[in-house]
Amino acid sequence: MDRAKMKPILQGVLVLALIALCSGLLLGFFNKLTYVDPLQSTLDGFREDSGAKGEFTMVVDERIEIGPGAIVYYAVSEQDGIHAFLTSSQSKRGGEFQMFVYIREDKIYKIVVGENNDEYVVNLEKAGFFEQFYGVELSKLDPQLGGDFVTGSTYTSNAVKDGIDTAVQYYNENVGGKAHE
Amino acid sequence: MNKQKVKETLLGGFIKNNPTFVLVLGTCPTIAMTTSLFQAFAMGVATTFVLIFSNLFVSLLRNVIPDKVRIPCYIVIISTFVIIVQMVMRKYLPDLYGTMQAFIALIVVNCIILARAESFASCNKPLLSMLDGLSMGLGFTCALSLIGIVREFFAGGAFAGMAIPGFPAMSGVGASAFGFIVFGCMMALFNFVMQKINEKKERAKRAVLPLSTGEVEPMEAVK
Repeated sequence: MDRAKMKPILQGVLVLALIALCSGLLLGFFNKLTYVDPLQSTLDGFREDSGAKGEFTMVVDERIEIGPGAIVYYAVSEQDGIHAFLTSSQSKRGGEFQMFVYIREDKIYKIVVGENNDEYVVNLEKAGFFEQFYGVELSKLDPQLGGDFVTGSTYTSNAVKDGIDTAVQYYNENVGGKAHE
Repeated sequence: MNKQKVKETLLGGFIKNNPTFVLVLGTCPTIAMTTSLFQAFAMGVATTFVLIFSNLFVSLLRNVIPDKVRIPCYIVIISTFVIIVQMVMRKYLPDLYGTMQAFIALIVVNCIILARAESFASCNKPLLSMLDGLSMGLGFTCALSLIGIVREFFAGGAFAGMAIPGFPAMSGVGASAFGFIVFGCMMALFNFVMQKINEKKERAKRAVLPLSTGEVEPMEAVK
Protein backbone atom coordinates (compact mmCIF):
# COMPACT_ATOMS: atom_id res chain seq x y z
CA MET A 1 0.00 0.00 0.00
CA ASP A 2 1.16 3.51 -0.85
CA ARG A 3 2.62 5.10 2.29
CA ALA A 4 2.14 8.63 1.02
CA LYS A 5 -1.58 8.02 0.70
CA MET A 6 -1.86 6.29 4.05
CA LYS A 7 -0.18 9.03 6.05
CA PRO A 8 -2.91 11.73 5.76
CA ILE A 9 -5.63 9.14 6.43
CA LEU A 10 -3.90 7.95 9.60
CA GLN A 11 -3.27 11.53 10.63
CA GLY A 12 -6.95 12.35 10.21
CA VAL A 13 -8.06 9.32 12.20
CA LEU A 14 -5.57 10.10 14.94
CA VAL A 15 -6.69 13.72 15.27
CA LEU A 16 -10.34 12.72 15.32
CA ALA A 17 -9.63 10.04 17.96
CA LEU A 18 -7.72 12.53 20.08
CA ILE A 19 -10.52 15.11 19.89
CA ALA A 20 -13.07 12.42 20.80
CA LEU A 21 -10.92 11.32 23.74
CA CYS A 22 -10.59 14.87 25.08
CA SER A 23 -14.32 15.35 24.57
CA GLY A 24 -15.05 12.18 26.54
CA LEU A 25 -12.80 13.28 29.41
CA LEU A 26 -14.46 16.71 29.53
CA LEU A 27 -17.93 15.15 29.53
CA GLY A 28 -16.92 12.69 32.24
CA PHE A 29 -15.83 15.61 34.40
CA PHE A 30 -19.11 17.48 33.81
CA ASN A 31 -21.14 14.34 34.44
CA LYS A 32 -19.52 14.01 37.84
CA LEU A 33 -20.41 17.62 38.63
CA THR A 34 -24.01 17.53 37.42
CA TYR A 35 -25.25 13.96 37.95
CA VAL A 36 -28.87 13.84 39.10
CA ASP A 37 -30.46 10.71 40.54
CA PRO A 38 -33.92 10.67 38.87
CA LEU A 39 -35.57 8.89 41.82
CA GLN A 40 -34.15 11.27 44.39
CA SER A 41 -35.06 14.33 42.31
CA THR A 42 -38.66 13.05 42.00
CA LEU A 43 -38.88 12.55 45.77
CA ASP A 44 -37.48 16.04 46.33
CA GLY A 45 -40.04 17.41 43.87
CA PHE A 46 -42.88 15.62 45.71
CA ARG A 47 -41.75 17.12 48.99
CA GLU A 48 -41.33 20.61 47.60
CA ASP A 49 -44.72 20.64 45.79
CA SER A 50 -46.74 19.12 48.61
CA GLY A 51 -45.12 21.10 51.40
CA ALA A 52 -44.63 17.88 53.37
CA LYS A 53 -42.40 17.99 56.42
CA GLY A 54 -41.48 14.31 56.37
CA GLU A 55 -39.57 12.31 53.77
CA PHE A 56 -41.33 10.49 50.94
CA THR A 57 -40.78 6.78 50.38
CA MET A 58 -41.02 5.46 46.84
CA VAL A 59 -43.67 2.76 46.44
CA VAL A 60 -43.93 2.46 42.66
CA ASP A 61 -40.96 3.33 40.49
CA GLU A 62 -41.95 1.40 37.38
CA ARG A 63 -44.55 2.59 34.90
CA ILE A 64 -47.97 0.97 35.51
CA GLU A 65 -50.63 1.39 32.82
CA ILE A 66 -53.96 2.04 34.50
CA GLY A 67 -57.25 3.31 33.07
CA PRO A 68 -56.68 6.07 30.53
CA GLY A 69 -53.09 6.79 31.58
CA ALA A 70 -50.16 5.47 33.58
CA ILE A 71 -48.58 5.85 37.01
CA VAL A 72 -44.92 6.78 36.54
CA TYR A 73 -44.03 7.17 40.23
CA TYR A 74 -45.98 6.78 43.45
CA ALA A 75 -44.57 7.74 46.84
CA VAL A 76 -45.93 8.13 50.35
CA SER A 77 -45.01 10.41 53.20
CA GLU A 78 -46.09 8.47 56.30
CA GLN A 79 -45.48 11.41 58.59
CA ASP A 80 -47.75 13.77 56.64
CA GLY A 81 -50.20 11.17 55.33
CA ILE A 82 -49.62 12.37 51.77
CA HIS A 83 -49.81 10.11 48.72
CA ALA A 84 -47.97 11.57 45.76
CA PHE A 85 -48.43 10.39 42.18
CA LEU A 86 -46.66 11.29 38.99
CA THR A 87 -49.09 10.37 36.24
CA SER A 88 -48.78 10.29 32.49
CA SER A 89 -51.64 10.73 30.04
CA GLN A 90 -51.97 11.66 26.39
CA SER A 91 -52.99 15.06 25.09
CA LYS A 92 -54.21 14.98 21.51
CA ARG A 93 -52.56 18.34 21.05
CA GLY A 94 -49.19 18.00 22.78
CA GLY A 95 -48.46 14.28 23.23
CA GLU A 96 -47.40 12.96 26.65
CA PHE A 97 -48.82 14.99 29.54
CA GLN A 98 -47.42 14.48 33.04
CA MET A 99 -49.02 15.62 36.28
CA PHE A 100 -48.32 15.47 39.99
CA VAL A 101 -51.42 14.53 41.96
CA TYR A 102 -51.34 14.77 45.77
CA ILE A 103 -53.90 12.95 47.92
CA ARG A 104 -54.45 13.33 51.65
CA GLU A 105 -57.25 11.77 53.72
CA ASP A 106 -58.88 10.25 50.61
CA LYS A 107 -59.14 13.64 48.93
CA ILE A 108 -57.13 15.39 46.27
CA TYR A 109 -55.58 18.48 47.75
CA LYS A 110 -53.11 19.58 45.10
CA ILE A 111 -52.46 19.10 41.39
CA VAL A 112 -49.29 20.36 39.72
CA VAL A 113 -48.72 20.20 35.99
CA GLY A 114 -45.53 18.33 35.03
CA GLU A 115 -43.72 17.86 31.72
CA ASN A 116 -45.86 18.49 28.67
CA ASN A 117 -45.83 20.20 25.29
CA ASP A 118 -49.35 21.53 25.52
CA GLU A 119 -49.36 25.32 25.65
CA TYR A 120 -53.10 25.38 26.37
CA VAL A 121 -52.45 24.44 30.01
CA VAL A 122 -52.31 28.14 30.77
CA ASN A 123 -56.03 28.39 29.86
CA LEU A 124 -56.87 25.72 32.43
CA GLU A 125 -54.86 27.48 35.11
CA LYS A 126 -56.60 30.78 34.29
CA ALA A 127 -60.02 29.11 34.46
CA GLY A 128 -59.25 27.48 37.83
CA PHE A 129 -59.86 24.07 36.28
CA PHE A 130 -57.81 22.13 38.84
CA GLU A 131 -59.59 23.59 41.87
CA GLN A 132 -62.84 21.75 41.03
CA PHE A 133 -61.15 18.46 42.04
CA TYR A 134 -59.79 19.69 45.38
CA GLY A 135 -61.47 18.31 48.46
CA VAL A 136 -63.82 15.98 46.57
CA GLU A 137 -64.20 12.45 47.97
CA LEU A 138 -62.22 10.16 45.66
CA SER A 139 -65.02 7.60 45.47
CA LYS A 140 -67.11 10.24 43.71
CA LEU A 141 -64.45 10.72 41.05
CA ASP A 142 -64.09 7.03 40.21
CA PRO A 143 -64.17 5.29 37.75
CA GLN A 144 -64.35 7.80 34.87
CA LEU A 145 -64.25 11.53 35.37
CA GLY A 146 -67.02 13.37 33.69
CA GLY A 147 -67.86 16.97 34.20
CA ASP A 148 -66.69 20.22 32.76
CA PHE A 149 -63.90 21.10 30.45
CA VAL A 150 -62.45 24.46 29.46
CA THR A 151 -63.85 25.70 26.17
CA GLY A 152 -61.16 25.93 23.52
CA SER A 153 -58.89 23.62 25.49
CA THR A 154 -60.87 20.39 25.39
CA TYR A 155 -57.90 18.16 24.53
CA THR A 156 -55.88 19.61 27.41
CA SER A 157 -58.82 19.30 29.80
CA ASN A 158 -59.21 15.65 28.81
CA ALA A 159 -55.50 14.96 29.32
CA VAL A 160 -55.71 16.46 32.82
CA LYS A 161 -58.84 14.44 33.63
CA ASP A 162 -57.16 11.24 32.40
CA GLY A 163 -54.15 11.91 34.62
CA ILE A 164 -56.33 12.50 37.68
CA ASP A 165 -58.47 9.49 36.85
CA THR A 166 -55.37 7.28 36.66
CA ALA A 167 -54.16 8.39 40.11
CA VAL A 168 -57.65 8.02 41.60
CA GLN A 169 -58.16 4.54 40.16
CA TYR A 170 -54.81 3.35 41.48
CA TYR A 171 -55.49 4.90 44.88
CA ASN A 172 -58.99 3.42 45.19
CA GLU A 173 -57.85 -0.05 44.12
CA ASN A 174 -54.64 -0.24 46.16
CA VAL A 175 -54.73 2.28 48.97
CA GLY A 176 -58.27 3.63 49.51
CA GLY A 177 -59.57 3.37 53.05
CA LYS A 178 -56.27 1.96 54.32
CA ALA A 179 -54.93 5.46 54.68
CA HIS A 180 -56.66 5.95 58.03
CA GLU A 181 -56.23 2.46 59.43
CA MET B 1 -6.79 43.11 16.98
CA ASN B 2 -8.24 45.38 14.31
CA LYS B 3 -10.96 47.47 15.97
CA GLN B 4 -12.92 47.81 12.76
CA LYS B 5 -12.98 44.03 12.30
CA VAL B 6 -14.11 43.50 15.90
CA LYS B 7 -16.93 46.00 15.39
CA GLU B 8 -17.96 44.40 12.11
CA THR B 9 -17.91 40.94 13.68
CA LEU B 10 -19.95 42.03 16.68
CA LEU B 11 -22.60 43.85 14.67
CA GLY B 12 -22.54 41.40 11.78
CA GLY B 13 -24.27 38.52 13.51
CA PHE B 14 -26.64 40.78 15.34
CA ILE B 15 -27.97 42.87 12.45
CA LYS B 16 -26.32 42.55 9.02
CA ASN B 17 -26.09 38.76 9.00
CA ASN B 18 -28.75 37.96 11.58
CA PRO B 19 -28.94 34.14 11.47
CA THR B 20 -32.74 34.04 11.72
CA PHE B 21 -34.04 37.05 9.82
CA VAL B 22 -31.31 37.47 7.18
CA LEU B 23 -29.52 34.15 6.71
CA VAL B 24 -32.68 32.13 7.56
CA LEU B 25 -30.67 29.47 9.41
CA GLY B 26 -31.92 27.37 12.34
CA THR B 27 -35.55 27.47 11.24
CA CYS B 28 -36.44 24.25 13.09
CA PRO B 29 -35.85 25.63 16.62
CA THR B 30 -37.20 28.99 15.49
CA ILE B 31 -40.61 27.44 14.87
CA ALA B 32 -40.59 24.75 17.55
CA MET B 33 -39.20 26.70 20.50
CA THR B 34 -40.96 30.04 20.16
CA THR B 35 -44.32 29.16 21.67
CA SER B 36 -43.30 31.16 24.74
CA LEU B 37 -40.77 33.90 25.47
CA PHE B 38 -39.03 31.96 28.23
CA GLN B 39 -38.50 28.87 26.08
CA ALA B 40 -37.31 30.94 23.12
CA PHE B 41 -34.86 32.87 25.30
CA ALA B 42 -33.53 29.68 26.91
CA MET B 43 -33.03 28.10 23.48
CA GLY B 44 -31.17 31.20 22.33
CA VAL B 45 -28.90 31.23 25.38
CA ALA B 46 -28.13 27.51 25.00
CA THR B 47 -27.27 27.99 21.32
CA THR B 48 -25.13 31.04 22.12
CA PHE B 49 -23.11 29.03 24.66
CA VAL B 50 -22.51 26.25 22.13
CA LEU B 51 -21.65 28.77 19.38
CA ILE B 52 -19.07 30.61 21.51
CA PHE B 53 -17.24 27.52 22.72
CA SER B 54 -17.42 25.48 19.53
CA ASN B 55 -16.06 28.48 17.61
CA LEU B 56 -13.27 28.87 20.16
CA PHE B 57 -12.17 25.25 19.94
CA VAL B 58 -12.53 25.00 16.17
CA SER B 59 -10.38 28.10 15.87
CA LEU B 60 -7.78 26.81 18.33
CA LEU B 61 -7.52 23.52 16.45
CA ARG B 62 -7.81 24.96 12.93
CA ASN B 63 -4.15 24.26 12.09
CA VAL B 64 -4.24 20.76 13.55
CA ILE B 65 -7.43 19.38 12.05
CA PRO B 66 -6.82 17.83 8.61
CA ASP B 67 -9.11 19.12 5.89
CA LYS B 68 -10.62 15.72 5.09
CA VAL B 69 -11.89 15.06 8.61
CA ARG B 70 -12.82 18.61 9.52
CA ILE B 71 -16.61 18.10 9.51
CA PRO B 72 -16.56 15.02 11.84
CA CYS B 73 -14.15 16.92 14.10
CA TYR B 74 -16.46 19.95 14.20
CA ILE B 75 -19.44 17.73 14.99
CA VAL B 76 -17.57 16.08 17.89
CA ILE B 77 -16.64 19.49 19.29
CA ILE B 78 -20.16 20.89 18.87
CA SER B 79 -21.84 17.81 20.37
CA THR B 80 -19.52 17.98 23.40
CA PHE B 81 -20.80 21.45 24.25
CA VAL B 82 -24.39 20.52 23.52
CA ILE B 83 -24.13 17.61 25.98
CA ILE B 84 -22.60 19.97 28.57
CA VAL B 85 -25.61 22.29 28.12
CA GLN B 86 -27.94 19.29 28.56
CA MET B 87 -26.18 18.19 31.75
CA VAL B 88 -26.24 21.67 33.27
CA MET B 89 -29.91 22.23 32.36
CA ARG B 90 -30.95 18.82 33.72
CA LYS B 91 -29.28 19.62 37.03
CA TYR B 92 -30.23 23.28 37.49
CA LEU B 93 -33.34 23.84 35.31
CA PRO B 94 -35.12 20.46 35.34
CA ASP B 95 -38.58 21.84 34.46
CA LEU B 96 -37.32 23.78 31.48
CA TYR B 97 -35.14 20.86 30.41
CA GLY B 98 -38.19 18.60 30.50
CA THR B 99 -39.99 20.68 27.90
CA MET B 100 -36.97 21.43 25.75
CA GLN B 101 -34.84 18.28 25.86
CA ALA B 102 -35.55 17.06 22.33
CA PHE B 103 -34.64 20.41 20.83
CA ILE B 104 -31.57 20.95 23.00
CA ALA B 105 -30.10 17.72 21.59
CA LEU B 106 -30.86 18.96 18.08
CA ILE B 107 -28.57 21.99 18.56
CA VAL B 108 -25.82 19.63 17.33
CA VAL B 109 -27.27 19.78 13.84
CA ASN B 110 -28.24 23.45 13.96
CA CYS B 111 -26.86 24.87 10.72
CA ILE B 112 -25.88 28.18 12.33
CA ILE B 113 -23.25 26.46 14.45
CA LEU B 114 -21.74 24.29 11.74
CA ALA B 115 -21.86 27.20 9.27
CA ARG B 116 -19.95 29.50 11.64
CA ALA B 117 -17.41 26.79 12.44
CA GLU B 118 -16.82 26.12 8.77
CA SER B 119 -16.94 29.65 7.38
CA PHE B 120 -15.55 31.76 10.22
CA ALA B 121 -13.88 29.93 13.09
CA SER B 122 -11.79 27.67 10.81
CA CYS B 123 -10.04 30.69 9.27
CA ASN B 124 -9.95 33.24 12.09
CA LYS B 125 -8.21 33.73 15.43
CA PRO B 126 -9.79 32.33 18.64
CA LEU B 127 -10.87 35.62 20.19
CA LEU B 128 -12.47 36.90 17.01
CA SER B 129 -14.20 33.53 16.55
CA MET B 130 -15.61 33.75 20.07
CA LEU B 131 -16.90 37.25 19.32
CA ASP B 132 -18.51 35.95 16.15
CA GLY B 133 -20.18 33.17 18.17
CA LEU B 134 -21.40 35.71 20.72
CA SER B 135 -22.74 38.04 18.06
CA MET B 136 -24.48 35.29 16.09
CA GLY B 137 -25.87 33.82 19.32
CA LEU B 138 -27.23 37.15 20.50
CA GLY B 139 -28.79 37.78 17.10
CA PHE B 140 -30.43 34.35 17.24
CA THR B 141 -31.60 34.87 20.85
CA CYS B 142 -33.15 38.26 20.10
CA ALA B 143 -34.91 36.97 16.99
CA LEU B 144 -36.30 33.96 18.84
CA SER B 145 -37.39 36.10 21.79
CA LEU B 146 -39.24 38.56 19.54
CA ILE B 147 -41.10 35.72 17.81
CA GLY B 148 -41.74 34.13 21.23
CA ILE B 149 -43.31 37.35 22.57
CA VAL B 150 -45.72 37.61 19.62
CA ARG B 151 -46.68 33.92 19.64
CA GLU B 152 -47.17 33.77 23.40
CA PHE B 153 -49.28 36.91 23.34
CA PHE B 154 -51.66 35.59 20.68
CA ALA B 155 -51.68 31.90 21.65
CA GLY B 156 -51.80 32.23 25.42
CA GLY B 157 -52.86 35.84 26.02
CA ALA B 158 -49.75 36.13 28.16
CA PHE B 159 -46.34 37.77 28.40
CA ALA B 160 -43.41 35.79 29.86
CA GLY B 161 -45.84 33.36 31.46
CA MET B 162 -47.96 36.07 33.07
CA ALA B 163 -51.54 36.26 31.87
CA ILE B 164 -52.54 39.65 30.46
CA PRO B 165 -56.03 40.58 31.63
CA GLY B 166 -58.46 41.24 28.79
CA PHE B 167 -56.51 39.28 26.17
CA PRO B 168 -57.98 35.81 25.78
CA ALA B 169 -55.98 32.99 24.22
CA MET B 170 -56.84 32.32 20.59
CA SER B 171 -57.57 28.79 19.54
CA GLY B 172 -55.26 27.35 16.86
CA VAL B 173 -52.81 30.22 17.05
CA GLY B 174 -50.32 28.13 19.02
CA ALA B 175 -49.86 25.76 16.09
CA SER B 176 -46.72 25.64 13.94
CA ALA B 177 -48.55 27.15 10.97
CA PHE B 178 -49.06 30.40 12.89
CA GLY B 179 -45.40 30.22 13.90
CA PHE B 180 -44.41 30.27 10.24
CA ILE B 181 -46.71 33.25 9.61
CA VAL B 182 -45.22 35.21 12.53
CA PHE B 183 -41.70 34.24 11.44
CA GLY B 184 -42.38 35.39 7.87
CA CYS B 185 -43.97 38.68 8.93
CA MET B 186 -41.13 39.51 11.31
CA MET B 187 -38.52 38.59 8.73
CA ALA B 188 -40.23 40.89 6.22
CA LEU B 189 -40.44 43.70 8.77
CA PHE B 190 -36.78 43.30 9.79
CA ASN B 191 -35.56 43.35 6.20
CA PHE B 192 -37.83 46.28 5.32
CA VAL B 193 -36.45 48.34 8.22
CA MET B 194 -32.88 47.36 7.34
CA GLN B 195 -33.44 48.27 3.70
CA LYS B 196 -34.81 51.68 4.68
CA ILE B 197 -31.83 52.31 6.98
CA ASN B 198 -29.37 51.28 4.25
CA GLU B 199 -31.11 53.48 1.69
CA LYS B 200 -30.90 56.41 4.09
CA LYS B 201 -27.20 55.76 4.66
CA GLU B 202 -26.64 55.47 0.92
CA ARG B 203 -28.42 58.76 0.31
CA ALA B 204 -26.37 60.46 3.00
CA LYS B 205 -23.18 59.09 1.40
CA ARG B 206 -24.20 60.29 -2.07
CA ALA B 207 -25.00 63.70 -0.71
CA VAL B 208 -21.37 64.31 0.26
CA LEU B 209 -19.99 63.09 -3.09
CA PRO B 210 -19.15 65.85 -5.59
CA LEU B 211 -21.06 63.81 -8.23
CA SER B 212 -24.39 64.78 -6.74
CA THR B 213 -23.67 68.47 -7.25
CA GLY B 214 -23.06 67.96 -10.94
CA GLU B 215 -19.58 69.52 -10.71
CA VAL B 216 -17.68 66.35 -11.59
CA GLU B 217 -18.08 64.01 -14.55
CA PRO B 218 -19.22 60.47 -13.63
CA MET B 219 -16.00 58.81 -14.85
CA GLU B 220 -13.90 61.11 -12.72
CA ALA B 221 -16.00 60.36 -9.71
CA VAL B 222 -15.33 56.66 -10.22
CA LYS B 223 -11.61 57.26 -10.47
